[in-house]
Parts: sequence; C-alpha cells; structure tokens
Amino acid sequence: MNRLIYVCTAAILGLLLAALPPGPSAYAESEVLESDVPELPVGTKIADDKRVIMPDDTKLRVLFLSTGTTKTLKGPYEGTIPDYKEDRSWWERITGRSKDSDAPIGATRGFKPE
Amino acid sequence: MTEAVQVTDAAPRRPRLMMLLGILWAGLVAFGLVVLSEANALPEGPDEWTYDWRTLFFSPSADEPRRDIALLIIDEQSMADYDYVSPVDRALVAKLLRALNTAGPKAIGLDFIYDRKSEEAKTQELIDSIRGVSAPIVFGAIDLRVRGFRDETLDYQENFIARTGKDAGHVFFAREKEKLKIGDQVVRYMGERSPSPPNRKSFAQLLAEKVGGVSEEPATPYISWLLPPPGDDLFPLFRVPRHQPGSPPDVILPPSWRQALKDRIVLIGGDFIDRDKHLTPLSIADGAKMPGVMVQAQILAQLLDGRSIYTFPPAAEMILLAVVCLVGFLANRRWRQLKRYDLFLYVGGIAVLILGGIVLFAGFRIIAPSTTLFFAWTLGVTGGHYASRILKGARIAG
Repeated sequence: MNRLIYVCTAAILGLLLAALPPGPSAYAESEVLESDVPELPVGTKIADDKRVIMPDDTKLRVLFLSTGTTKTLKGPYEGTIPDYKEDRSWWERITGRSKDSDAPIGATRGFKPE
Repeated sequence: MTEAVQVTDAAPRRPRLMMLLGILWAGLVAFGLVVLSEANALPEGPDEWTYDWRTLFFSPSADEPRRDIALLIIDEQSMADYDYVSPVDRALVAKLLRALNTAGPKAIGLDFIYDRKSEEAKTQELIDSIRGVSAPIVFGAIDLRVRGFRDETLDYQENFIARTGKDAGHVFFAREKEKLKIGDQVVRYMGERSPSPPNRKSFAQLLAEKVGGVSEEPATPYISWLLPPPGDDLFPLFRVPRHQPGSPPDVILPPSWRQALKDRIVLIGGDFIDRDKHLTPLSIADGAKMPGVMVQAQILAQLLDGRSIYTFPPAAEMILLAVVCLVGFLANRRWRQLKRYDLFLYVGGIAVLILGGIVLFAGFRIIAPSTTLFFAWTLGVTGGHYASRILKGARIAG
C-alpha cells in the first residue's frame, strides 16, 4: 500500500514538474554565423543571457542552436541576442532608412548621383 | 481636375433624368475601363504603387521563423578564393550537396541552372552528387522564354537533366506587361508552367509537391509575400563561408549547421550582386533587391501554406467601377454648391479608395484595382460636373 502511495506521489510530482513553464536554460546559446563586430568573430558561441554590444553600422547573424533558426542584428545595439528587435519607425520604413540600398552594379557604370 | 469655385446651377432639377444619365455614364465608364484594363492599355502606375506599399505594410507577418524551409547561400565572399564566380564552381556545389546529404534534409532545391558546359570533371562530380542525394531534389531550368535562347542551350540542359535522373523546375518569375511605359521590372507574380517543350512546372511548385505540401493551388499568380517575425529572420539563412577550393566539407558546411538543416527543405542558391537579384514589392521603400532563391523560398512557403492573393474578376470589377463612378457622379451633384467642392471630392474620394484598398488587402488579401477605381471616381465626379450642361445642350432640360 505504502509503495503504491509513493509511486502515485512521484507520478503526480513528475506531472507537475513537466507542466511547469520552462525556465531559461543555462545551455541555451547561439553561434555567430556572420559578423563584422570584432569582439564576436564567426563561430563564437554566445549564451542567451549574455549581453552583447554592437557599435553603429555593424551586423551580426546568429544561429540559435536549440531551434535551428537564425536572427540578424544591426548595430547600434546593447542587450541579449533573444531580446533584439529591429527598431524602425514608420517613417524609416517609408523612406527606407536604416536598410540596404540598391548597390550599383559594376564599378563605374551605375553609380547613383549624390 | 475641374475647377468650379463658384457654381450657378441654373439647370432645372430633374432628378430622375439626372439619375438616368448618371447610371448611363457609370455603365459606360465601367465598361470602357474594364475593356482597356483587360487590353493592358491603362497606365498601371497607381495599381503597382498602391499594391507595393500595401504589400510592404499590410502583408501578414509570420508568428515565428519558418521551421520548414532554410536557405543555403553562395555569394561573392564564399567564392573569393576561386578563379571565377560564374558559373558557380560545380565541384563546390557537388561537395556542398554531399555534406548536406549527411544532415538529412527533407528535400533540396538547387536554384542553379545548368545550360552550358563547364569543366567536364566537375560537371560529372556534380551529376554524381545529385544522383547520390537521398532526399528528393529539384534543380533549376530555363526554357524558350529566355531572350536569345539557343537550341544548343536547351540540348545541353536536357542532357544534363537526363544524366542526373532527377527533376528540374523552371526558375522564372513573372513581371507586369506594360504597353504605355517601360516595365518597372518588379517581380509580383509566379511564373506559369513552361511552354512545350519541355512543359515544366515551376521550381517551387515541384519542390512543394515533392514534400506533399500543395494543399490548394493559388487563386491568382500573385506572390503572397510573408514578412519576417519582428526581430528574426523569416527563413534560417546560412552563407557558405570563404574557403580555399578543395577545403574539406566541414569547412563549407560546419557540423553545427547540419543539425539546423535536418528535416528541412533546403534551398541552395546564389546571392551575387550582378545576377539573379530582383526588385519585389518589398523593395519599394529602400530599393533593395532580393536574390532569386529568396523569392523561390517565398513562393514555396506560400504553396505550402496554401495562401492566395485574390483579385476582382472582370464582371465584379465592372460592377464595382460602375458603383464608384455613380457615387462620384451623385456626390458632385449633391455638394457642388460648396466652394472648392472639387478638391473635397477628388481628394476625399481617393482617400476613401486608398483606405478601402488597405482594408480589402489587410483583411481579405484582395487587391483592389486602384487604376480603374481612380479613373472611375474622377470620371464620375467630372461627369456629374458637366451633366447639367450636357442636358441643356441637348435641350432635354431647360
């Protein structure tokens, strides 16, 4: 009888633990795929809770090892990788600021007038 | 724009006659506009402009990054230590395929075309790699729609496809045909099945079918663009790093990437500044061109999701235009005593049309025909303005 109570209690505790929301994993991390931040070269592993500092006009692409998804960050930014959200106003979206422009093809024939 | 700062409407009021004239005018305008539109003889600027902005701001955003599709990109940096970048070294692609095969992808889309010879040893190595891939694989093909196409090109391509024993899909996208201006070269449509021979399905369609994912054919050829979730890449994207030719597979496809490519449809393609880059509706703000392989990924995602963009069929468009034209006609009659009523009507009316277009697109993925609506409204207002004079001139009224 006692054995049955122990088994039932253990099962209930197990279910409760499984139902708990997952906390931040100590092993969750990302890997740098592309970078022009000197302190974060390609191949660097970054823990999800580690803060990164990206100067202006820098770009970082990382692979989340747990999910296999990637993320592109553009500097300036200071914070953790998962917290990054591209901050662009409506005006910036309309005028295209803060994104790439259409680069000229070839070196001499297609430049854009200033 | 008509000018009518101060109007003395001396025409006798004959509401029924005026309504009849309005209906007649609206029917005529609607019919004429639809005929001209079907003949592609209207300036499409308003349609394209409004459609592109609506697409940029009101297309659906993915809730999370796609877990089913990934991109593997070869670019100038990947090939910086090669003697040439075009065509992409076939030995590199062969090695990439072998490395990818060990990752266990669900399917592979090789967004390159093989329409001319290269070093035979490398070509044979690539063919062997394609044959050795265990996942379903589709690669790109061109056909008679290419300008300056030569028979020997088709012969080479067909021979290459036959040697691989695998399937190829055409890689074309479709652009607007313009009669009144130079086309804007923006990719808005999926390419139709290629003409015979060789009568091929598109690259994305074939790939979607390989994974059993086409639940519903799109209602129109419009590409339904999906925006990335805030802060994340829509498709996991990997760029083959710079490496020396002959580097081992782990250098071009590091082991940590392979886990991320497992069980995914992996599209391999190029991102070169002078090749296969396209303006899309998403380019409207910044002019940034999208590599063809990313457009293919968008189409593939659309096919897998069963998403569609809808348009008005001609009969429905004609009814809509007639109603808008008649409303413009009657609005003019109703408010013509106001000063600057023309400005009020034109600007206000067009603002309502733009707003309606946004609601239709954001809520129902329906594209309102902006060009014909614009003309229907302005012709309706203008018709209302001159209606009294016409009746008087015809000595029907007054």
